[in-house]
Amino acid sequence: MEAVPKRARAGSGSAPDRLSALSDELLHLVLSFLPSRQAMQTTVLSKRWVDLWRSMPALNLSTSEFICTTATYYDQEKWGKMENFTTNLLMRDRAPRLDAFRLNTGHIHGDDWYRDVDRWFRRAMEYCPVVMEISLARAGGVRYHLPKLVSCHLKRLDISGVFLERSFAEQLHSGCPVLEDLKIFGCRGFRGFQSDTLKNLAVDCWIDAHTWTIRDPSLASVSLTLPFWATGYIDVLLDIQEFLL
Amino acid sequence: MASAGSGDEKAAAAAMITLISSDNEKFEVTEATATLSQTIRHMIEDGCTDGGVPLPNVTSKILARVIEYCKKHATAAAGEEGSSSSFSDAAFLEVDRAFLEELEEFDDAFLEVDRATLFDLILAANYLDIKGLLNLTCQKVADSVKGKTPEQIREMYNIVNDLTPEEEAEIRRETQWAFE
Repeated sequence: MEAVPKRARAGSGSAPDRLSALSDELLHLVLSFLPSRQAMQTTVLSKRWVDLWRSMPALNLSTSEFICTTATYYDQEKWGKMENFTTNLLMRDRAPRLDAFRLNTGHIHGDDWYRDVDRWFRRAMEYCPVVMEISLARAGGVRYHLPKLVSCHLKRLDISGVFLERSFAEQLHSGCPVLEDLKIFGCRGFRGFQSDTLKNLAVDCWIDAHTWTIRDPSLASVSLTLPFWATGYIDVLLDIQEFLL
Repeated sequence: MASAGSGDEKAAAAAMITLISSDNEKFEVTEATATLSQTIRHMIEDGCTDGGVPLPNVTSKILARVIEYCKKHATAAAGEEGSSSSFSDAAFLEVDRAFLEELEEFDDAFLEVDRATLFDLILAANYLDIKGLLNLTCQKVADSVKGKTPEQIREMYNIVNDLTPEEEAEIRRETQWAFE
């Protein structure tokens, strides 16, 4: 084989390509810090990169990655691209491993977003990720109702802008046995939770209940932010071993 | 998880470890600094650090930088008295905000290196299993390609495109959804 590499597009110097020389594991780590759309586009860099995306251990999805060409149907077009991308990325033949799933939707218009988000969320959950960060915008007054969380590996959960079912606390307890970090921001329906493993908790939520009950023997740090008017309105029952206020 | 027992930690504060680079230079560091490296931590636990720890994959130039990083971050981890947590754990603790900021500034300045050094640091962090440093350096590479087209990335990193134009077109067709 005449192994004369094409240098046409390979930059000026003769410095070695140290990026491509990294192991798959290290390249995956690099890709995990990129928005998934950009990480995906590395597939055409060279043969070395063609299949790396299939086993990317972290997916970072955000509507802000998608650019639109028309002004009239801006949001619809944006969501259409996001939907097409995410569905392909999640549903195509991927390696059965996903450590981190991050989903951030800006303002959404249209009717299909709920169904799409639900499909992706449930699909991501099948991989039992270690980290989940879900930040959703309310659309047309509708909030996404978080389905039952079951992930034996989930250590960190950040959720923003969703509605938490009444059974959320018990679900976390039974479905996520190794959860350590929980951040709930701008969600409705929060009433507290119980856990034996949680170490860090941050809650910044609307008040939907007169009492939040937090039961956790191993909590190391807590941050609760209440609306200014809620002082004296809500009781927070903390049942934890050691707690410094 | 870096939840090693805390019993030895007091003694560890004083204990010194000798690290030996590939070019035979010796570096004496505290055990608290050395154990940010999980690789070295395991060697210490196995009691095989007498006479120094040879690191045949790390040059003195890179080892000096790695130690600089570990010293700074070991101080951060020690903010919690007697704590043995690695930085990745420490990041979640309620450490003094000002100190975290200082640490961030240190990291930023630490990353002001040429590309060859950056890759050497990645390989050293990987070999020594220093999670914080590995994330930091890989993030730096990711940041450098953020917003760049494949062509620009090839140029930046001297990546030789060994795909034929037909092959590349085929891949672009198959993954068109990523380029829209």
